[in-house]
Amino acid sequence: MIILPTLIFTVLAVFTTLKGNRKLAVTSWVFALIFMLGAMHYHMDDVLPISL
Amino acid sequence: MTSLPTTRISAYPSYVLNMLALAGICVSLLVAFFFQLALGEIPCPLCMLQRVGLMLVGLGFAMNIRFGPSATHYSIIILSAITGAGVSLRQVLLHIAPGDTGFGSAIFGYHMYTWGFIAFMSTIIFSAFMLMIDRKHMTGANVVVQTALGTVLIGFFLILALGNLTSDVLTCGFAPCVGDPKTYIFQR
Repeated sequence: MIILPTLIFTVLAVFTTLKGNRKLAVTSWVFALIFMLGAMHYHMDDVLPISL
Repeated sequence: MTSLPTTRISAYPSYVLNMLALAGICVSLLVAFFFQLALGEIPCPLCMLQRVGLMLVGLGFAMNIRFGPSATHYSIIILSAITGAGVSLRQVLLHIAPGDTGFGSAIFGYHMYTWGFIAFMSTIIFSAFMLMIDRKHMTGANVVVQTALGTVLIGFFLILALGNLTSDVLTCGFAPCVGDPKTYIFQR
């Protein structure tokens, strides 16, 4: 569920690129990246085995 | 009689190089699918996020192929690669302690997340060089390039993206993904 939105927008961006709609492709990429950052914030919460 | 200005983008070296780069992304995604489907290694959330990073990088290459080279497209590639590299580096650090055998299988001695980090870094370096090569050929992305090979390659890339979307639904359903999935939702 957390990763699903970024995948949906990625697929949409590739599809619109294939169809020749650049503006929609760039917009979809922006949303995909935002949702990816959100998914990273959710999933990258494990404690590292080393001290940084 | 005046003729319309034409842009022979398919003749640019960058067109061929972007095609090769997108083909490389497709091969990387295919290898990931091979490990998932043939060897039964279900992708973890960080693995899936790295696949998304690869696809977003591939999107930039696809846009260069479809609309001509543009600084915006290279920015998309670089920003996506930095994001993907962040996930890869995080997973490398999770398994960096001595005695840790890592997550999943190794390919030529490195785990897939290590290869992912190398791939994302290489992409950034590649884009920096491409920005120099393409500096006189930037079209401003005001054209749509229709070549059969380009359409086939982007179409194949779209199929792989749809495959990853399906894989994520089958692995996690509509709930947050577990850290180390062992089965698909229809096997639970």
